[in-house]
Amino acid sequence: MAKDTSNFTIRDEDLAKALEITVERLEEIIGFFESDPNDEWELREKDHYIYINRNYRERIFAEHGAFAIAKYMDSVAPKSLWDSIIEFITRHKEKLRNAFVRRKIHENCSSLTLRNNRHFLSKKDAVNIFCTSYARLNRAFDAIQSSGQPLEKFKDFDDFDGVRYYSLSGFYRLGRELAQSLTVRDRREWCKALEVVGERAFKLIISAEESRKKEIERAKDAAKDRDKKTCQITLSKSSRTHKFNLAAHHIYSDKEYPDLAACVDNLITLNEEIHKEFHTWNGGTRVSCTADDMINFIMERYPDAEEVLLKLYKVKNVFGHHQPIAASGSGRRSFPPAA
Amino acid sequence: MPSNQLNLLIQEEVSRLAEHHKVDSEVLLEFAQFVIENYKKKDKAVKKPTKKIKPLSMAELKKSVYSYFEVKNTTELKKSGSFKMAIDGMEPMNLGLKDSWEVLYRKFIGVLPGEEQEKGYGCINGIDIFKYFSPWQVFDLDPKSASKEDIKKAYHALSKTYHPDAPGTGDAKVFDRINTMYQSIGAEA
Repeated sequence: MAKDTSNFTIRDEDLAKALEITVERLEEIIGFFESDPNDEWELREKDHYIYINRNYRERIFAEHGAFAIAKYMDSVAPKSLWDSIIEFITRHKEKLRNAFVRRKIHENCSSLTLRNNRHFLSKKDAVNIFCTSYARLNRAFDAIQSSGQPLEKFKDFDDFDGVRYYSLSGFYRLGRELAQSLTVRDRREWCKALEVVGERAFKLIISAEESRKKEIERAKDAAKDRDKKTCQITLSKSSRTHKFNLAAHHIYSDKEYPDLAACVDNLITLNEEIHKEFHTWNGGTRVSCTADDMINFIMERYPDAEEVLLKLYKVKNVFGHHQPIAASGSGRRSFPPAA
Repeated sequence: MPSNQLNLLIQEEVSRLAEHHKVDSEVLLEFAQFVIENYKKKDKAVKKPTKKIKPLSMAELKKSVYSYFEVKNTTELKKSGSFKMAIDGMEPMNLGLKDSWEVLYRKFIGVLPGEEQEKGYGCINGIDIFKYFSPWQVFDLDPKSASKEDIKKAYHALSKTYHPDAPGTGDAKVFDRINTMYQSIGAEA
């Protein structure tokens, strides 16, 4: 089992910068600490610091290690230095907490969805991000609704398919309410940090998702160009006498195989009607599909379409080893089906 | 009082009323004369002592908004994650204009001075429902004590006036806003 090194977060160069000394001077001070094991100044490896690289004497300190050095320096330096190390540790803690908040948001934003030009997040995700319970979030909601400025339905919150969602503005108000009313200080500060870094984290996710959607759309257009705008099952093109729409179908469904979603080789051009027919045959657009499903469908419904079978077997040979995200147990984000 | 200035018709009516109501005919004649002399005169304008409410200056508006979002200036406000999250989905704002600061004040701080008892289109119980989302005031309810049933009753009462089918007073836009208010304060957590 890996050793727990989570307490060691302050790099020696950051500490030296906060103490307004060079890394070399810091090294000298550490040398002083180690020179006399019987004096009052103690600095122990694996307690106050650990080595990242022993040969280069690169260290990473725990907070109390940083404090020990600062305390020593304070005894030989002007008073203001102690204040600067306190400030440094406070800011360092804040940075760490913000990093944890960002991670929490990234891990709990699969429900983020765009409706009426607003981004909404499910109540389940909100509960997880606030690190609270449903009951506590309900209390926060009730408190806001009883105030002079309650949350507005359709703007701050809404119900989609019977599930409660909060928009970013509603999420902000809930965070503000929790940051003011929670009894435990750490929990209040967590919600306060959500107010500060939440927007940027959400916007990053939103913009990543939007650029990914664009990437998928570009791949679809490229697949249609590659297939010369021809349905690969019927080998027909839309014409004046036979008009139809084309669809670029994900052979390995984009939801379960997100790593293949923007890959042109995982796309095949089909007549829109046949595309719908396949998904109905397969059990609906929400049901995952693979090259095997398309092969079985063609053999059953379009047994004459030999060429497309060859292409599908090629795709299967290339991508067949990919595991769907649910089976591989990966915590990657799921994306709405684009096909 | 020279009653001869009054024509015969009026003099006869004065006699009849004096007889009927047992009052002195002279009083009625005097009153008739007064009416003839003064009926065209305009009423003296009654000046009510009105207290002029001074609107908040741009600096005052900004100060309130800065304080709410815990920032020092507009640059910090624009960068503030809280602010950006709070206004997500709102119409784009030009913070160079006072109107935008008023919108922010109404949304996050409260009722602007002078807008407490507004009258006119879209105003219910003194609040302009298109400027403010204040369902408790519009429904005339106390949020601390109002039950679901009270909310429903207040909604139905307002619906009778503002439902688009209500003759004369119905208004789809106003009703839509009332409906949103009802669904907001009536929503389960």
